[in-house]
Amino acid sequence: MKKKKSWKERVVFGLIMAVLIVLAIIELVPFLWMFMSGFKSNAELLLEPFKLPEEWLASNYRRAWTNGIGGYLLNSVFVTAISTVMTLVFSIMAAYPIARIRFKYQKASLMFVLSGLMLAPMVAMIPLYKILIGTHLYDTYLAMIVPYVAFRLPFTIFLIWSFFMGIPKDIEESAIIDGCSPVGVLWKIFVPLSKPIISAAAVLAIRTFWNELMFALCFTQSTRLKTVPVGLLSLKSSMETEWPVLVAGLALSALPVVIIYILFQKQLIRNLTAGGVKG
Amino acid sequence: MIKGRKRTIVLFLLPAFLFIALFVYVPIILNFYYSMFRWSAFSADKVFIGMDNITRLFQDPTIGICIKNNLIYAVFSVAFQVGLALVLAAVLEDKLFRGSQPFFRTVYFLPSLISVTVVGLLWQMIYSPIFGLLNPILRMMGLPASDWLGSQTWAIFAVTMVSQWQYTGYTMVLFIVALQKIPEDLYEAATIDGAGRIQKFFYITIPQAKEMIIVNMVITVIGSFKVFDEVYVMTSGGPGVASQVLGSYLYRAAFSSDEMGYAAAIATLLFVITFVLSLIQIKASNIETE
Repeated sequence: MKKKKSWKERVVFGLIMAVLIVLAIIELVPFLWMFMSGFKSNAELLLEPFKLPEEWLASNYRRAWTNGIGGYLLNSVFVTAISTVMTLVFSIMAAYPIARIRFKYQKASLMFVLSGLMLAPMVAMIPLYKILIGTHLYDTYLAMIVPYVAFRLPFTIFLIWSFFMGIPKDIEESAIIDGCSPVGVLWKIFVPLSKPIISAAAVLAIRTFWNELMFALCFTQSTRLKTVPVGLLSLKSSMETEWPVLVAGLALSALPVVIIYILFQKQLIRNLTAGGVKG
Repeated sequence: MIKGRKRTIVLFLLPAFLFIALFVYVPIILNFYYSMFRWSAFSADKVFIGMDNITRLFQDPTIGICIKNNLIYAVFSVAFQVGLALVLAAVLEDKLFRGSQPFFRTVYFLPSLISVTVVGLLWQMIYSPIFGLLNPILRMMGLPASDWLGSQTWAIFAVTMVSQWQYTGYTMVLFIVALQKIPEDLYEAATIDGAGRIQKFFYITIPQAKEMIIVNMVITVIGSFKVFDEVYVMTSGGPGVASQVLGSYLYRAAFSSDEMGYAAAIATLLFVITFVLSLIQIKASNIETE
């Protein structure tokens, strides 16, 4: 049943397409401006915001890198990696009994986890600050990792738990009859079957930790511990009016994410929307 | 069935439960306690003042500004990240645009991956009256230019719009995923009945995606009350307190004014607001499962 497009339909199509393209330009231009401005001199940035740089200066990028971005990136990778692994391991372990072993406090355990979803990190900020100082964890990597993991666990357990609930019972029953221990069942059956949700939980966790600002700002002080978000703020205050170096710093921090996105776009989008809601 | 079951269960639950208990629940309970004292971060003595910090909240005009700004954030976020995102999702799911959907999806989604700090600092420069990109563009279009982030009137809107720029594409993709689950024959039946695109949007798409829309709306509102990074990075709540939100004001009370007790009271207010909204969200999600 193919219908020829009427002229009215064509006009509407053209108008909507134009709106979509304008929106795409609005989304893209800041990025293009950022990568381009990082190559400019201060004067050029001030006077010719639209023009391509006269001379492409790599020196801004070099200065941003040596002024800390390199170290910040390493710290971010370290904090993100440890936090993600801890979150995943603890979540998989906790999700299994809640989903599959019947015990007295099963429902209470689930409530304990789900209630954690309702609590905003900033409500805990001041007591956490006190606790971290009291335990001498303040201004260490653990001052970031420990709260990150704690606040990420409820959502991650919830994601993995709901996936475990959907795995057919008979698979594990036959394994148990064959003498497999609970650890064996979890590790050899549940984890391989749950790869899609585990990778989604991982990507969501990585994004959260990589971008986290508030806890890192409040719970650390030393330059050597700074992750990218806090590091950029101190780069900004140290560079004062040398805007091109700061722009270059921004570009360098965004670059790894942009590259990963271009390479693994499909998988990334699928993983980041696995929860169905803003995670 | 499984041997040593009790011990296994405890061992499996222990690490996660310890973390959640010690670093989520305990601090949040402690926060209520701390809000009843006057104390500073660098001295040991706390003065018990009961509900004084809480009553101060209601007399503090800045709290009113914060709540107003959080509400502005919520209204814009719902309009863009729920309203516009849903419309865009429906457009890109339409047969006419499905061919170009991958391109637009990729582009719109990109900013949501970049950290708020990078995006905030980038937009701070774009908004800059000295060398920013925005003012020259506005002038070219014959529109008035301004020092957007430095303006009492505009600062909060300028900050809010950056969030819309960053996240509308993200929720759009969430909606695309949801719309793809709507059975195609509903649309076909409507076509046979002579329904146009707009009618189909209002009579099929919205009712079919209703739960998802409500849940995302509540989550977006909750997010608007938890906002901190955007405001802290771009304006720190300024100029003056013009763009202060509860999160950034809490931070300022704690770490600039060193009024930890009052900051804890602001946190308590935030807790109450987000908790009530979360209960609404749970109610809304239950609709979905029934």
